[in-house]
Amino acid sequence: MQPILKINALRKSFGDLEVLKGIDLEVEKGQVVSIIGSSGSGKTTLLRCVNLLEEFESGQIAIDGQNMGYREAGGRRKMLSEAERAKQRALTGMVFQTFNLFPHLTALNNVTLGLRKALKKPRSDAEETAAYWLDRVGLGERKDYYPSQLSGGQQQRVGIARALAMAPKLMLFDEATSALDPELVGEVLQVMTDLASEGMTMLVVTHEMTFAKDASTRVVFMNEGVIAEEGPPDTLLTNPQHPRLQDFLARSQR
Amino acid sequence: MNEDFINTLITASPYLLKALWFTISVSLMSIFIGTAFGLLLGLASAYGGWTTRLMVRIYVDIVRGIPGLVKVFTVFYLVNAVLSEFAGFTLSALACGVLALSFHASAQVSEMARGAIQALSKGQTEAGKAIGLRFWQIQFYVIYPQAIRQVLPTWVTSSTEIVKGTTLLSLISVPEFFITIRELAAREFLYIEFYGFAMLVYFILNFSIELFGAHLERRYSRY
Repeated sequence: MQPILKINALRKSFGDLEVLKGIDLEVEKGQVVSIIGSSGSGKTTLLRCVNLLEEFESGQIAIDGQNMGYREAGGRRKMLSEAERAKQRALTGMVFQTFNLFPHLTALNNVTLGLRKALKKPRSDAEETAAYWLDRVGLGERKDYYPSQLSGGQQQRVGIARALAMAPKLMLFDEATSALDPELVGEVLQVMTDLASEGMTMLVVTHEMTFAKDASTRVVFMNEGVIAEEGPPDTLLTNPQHPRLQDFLARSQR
Repeated sequence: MNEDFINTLITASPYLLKALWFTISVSLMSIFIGTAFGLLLGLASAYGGWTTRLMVRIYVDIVRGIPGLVKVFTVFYLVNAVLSEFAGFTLSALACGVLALSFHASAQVSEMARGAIQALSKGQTEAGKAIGLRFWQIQFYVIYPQAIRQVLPTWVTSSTEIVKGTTLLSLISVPEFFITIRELAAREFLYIEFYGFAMLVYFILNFSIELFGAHLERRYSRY
């Protein structure tokens, strides 16, 4: 079976600094892959390359067999048009560390905007879909609230509903709970865990070792722009081989 | 109050009303053209490459660095001289006035728009991209609604500046409100009465704009 996400020899630099030094990664349908690693290891950049928020210099990222962002013909590499890239971005759903909700729109309209303008759904359909997903993240009652009237945890759940409503093939979570007060982390992790158990394909950059351990099929440890170690959570987290991973796990337990 | 003044006011009221309408329409045209052009400039300097940004910067600095009266005279004499030399036509005093005031407004609006767009977090654009929106969709549905709310107070202030600026056009003989007041005051020797009256009218005009601005602000501050 063709993997949902296939990354091949991905390289990315910011100026002189190479942050991704040849990444290979496959995620199959229904898998949940957690990416861990210290800050600066390139894990967030990897996620941002997948939904084309960052350009990359070489390698391929394919989602459901479709090459993201670039076309290669006759040995030449060409960036796809803005319209094509916009369409491809909708294949993935992105959940941001800082939520990035639209403050001028209600929870409901945060979710309908993409449905109506990117997917061209009629308003009534969009509202129905949006209400369904807000309900799923436990915010059906709050659909007419503005983001400023919601707690951080609720805002992030709206963020998740906004991404899910687009029916993405792959959900990307970029440290989705890092900006939250400790007592609000649980409700967001619960939504993510539920999604994982329902078979959503997910790529999750996280500092939450409990989530990595309990909810993921596979854990990937990134270090200095490469995947240093990967494996099932039980093996990788309890019996780490790479010295940097041993360090990292020792530090994150403290 | 002076009976002569009341009588003159009544007899001259058709002219005064016409002049007042002139002032209002010149203001509205200048605000409209200046805002539209200024928004384009603001967008160009928020998203353009460095040459575009530099050109807008130079334009804005020049326009803002020249006093209003000098702008009016420059457009009236210099631009018209160039036009008649190379294009074979000249602009009316009215068109020159609107042009000069529009230049002024565009520079102000451009700076406001650029500031507001840049102040919105990069995250807003990225969130728009992430749900598959195109550049212009992100501008229209995500950036502008938030930017408008931010610039509204400053924009209202600069609109009142434009109304005040229309008085400068009396110096190139545009038949606006203030020139009519000056003529009447001089003809009837009723300086205090007519200038006092002008003060009141300009105040009411600008106060109405401020009220309208406050109304818009309330409408946009639901969130």
